[in-house]
Amino acid sequence: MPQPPFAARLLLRLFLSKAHNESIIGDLAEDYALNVLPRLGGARANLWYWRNALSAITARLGTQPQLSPDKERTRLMTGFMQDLRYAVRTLRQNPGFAATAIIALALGIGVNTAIFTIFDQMAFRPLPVKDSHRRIRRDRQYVRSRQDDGVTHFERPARKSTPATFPGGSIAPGKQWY
Amino acid sequence: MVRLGDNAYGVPIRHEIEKRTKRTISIGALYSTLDRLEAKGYASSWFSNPTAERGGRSRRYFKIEPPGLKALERSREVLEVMWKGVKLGRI
Repeated sequence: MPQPPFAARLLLRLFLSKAHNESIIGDLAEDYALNVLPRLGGARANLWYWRNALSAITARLGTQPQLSPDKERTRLMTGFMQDLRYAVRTLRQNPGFAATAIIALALGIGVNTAIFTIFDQMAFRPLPVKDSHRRIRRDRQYVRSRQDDGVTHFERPARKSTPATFPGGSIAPGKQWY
Repeated sequence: MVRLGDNAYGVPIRHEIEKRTKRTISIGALYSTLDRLEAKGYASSWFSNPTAERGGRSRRYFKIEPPGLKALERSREVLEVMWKGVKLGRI
């Protein structure tokens, strides 16, 4: 008995309910072996099987499987799948609009992701060094002073002799800070 | 289904439609329609014993039910009424 393409059969088994598995895969197998394969030959018969398998899967996804007992979940999924199929149909009818929308979405998502990644590393993550919580930042501070020549000078104040303190301990004067 | 009688399952139903309409129909569209007919009570289905030519799978046979027959008659009446006296001229 000639076998239809394995991958197509696998997809059907995965996506169809048990009852539809029995009827649809059985119908396709019977038609394939008895009618399509002798008439069309191997390659075209396999193409026929694939086309029918995909049509069965998309039709099953978009319509309410009447044999399912969980009606509420089915109703919700049916609505979602109908919306999805409508979106795909609309996009296929307007390829220019589809391309514009896809590029805009891709750019928006890409830029957002890049900015958030940088901000996340800078603001939320600890520094990639040992004992990063003990690091402190020291800024140079210049004092503005007016001298006799009438020119404004900026001077660096002398380092205090008392050790700097911070919650983790202290640093003695003369020790290098980072 | 009415034409095929006791032999109304997926494969012959599809072939019958394709032969009469002279166009191919997908198996997904066929079973969507059959499921809807069954959900509305117009048809019923049952499974036969598994057969070898179907890879050990059963056939799902369909049978038209009285509400389905009534709906068919009503549909034909409506069509006949709508076509009565209509002559299609050249446009």
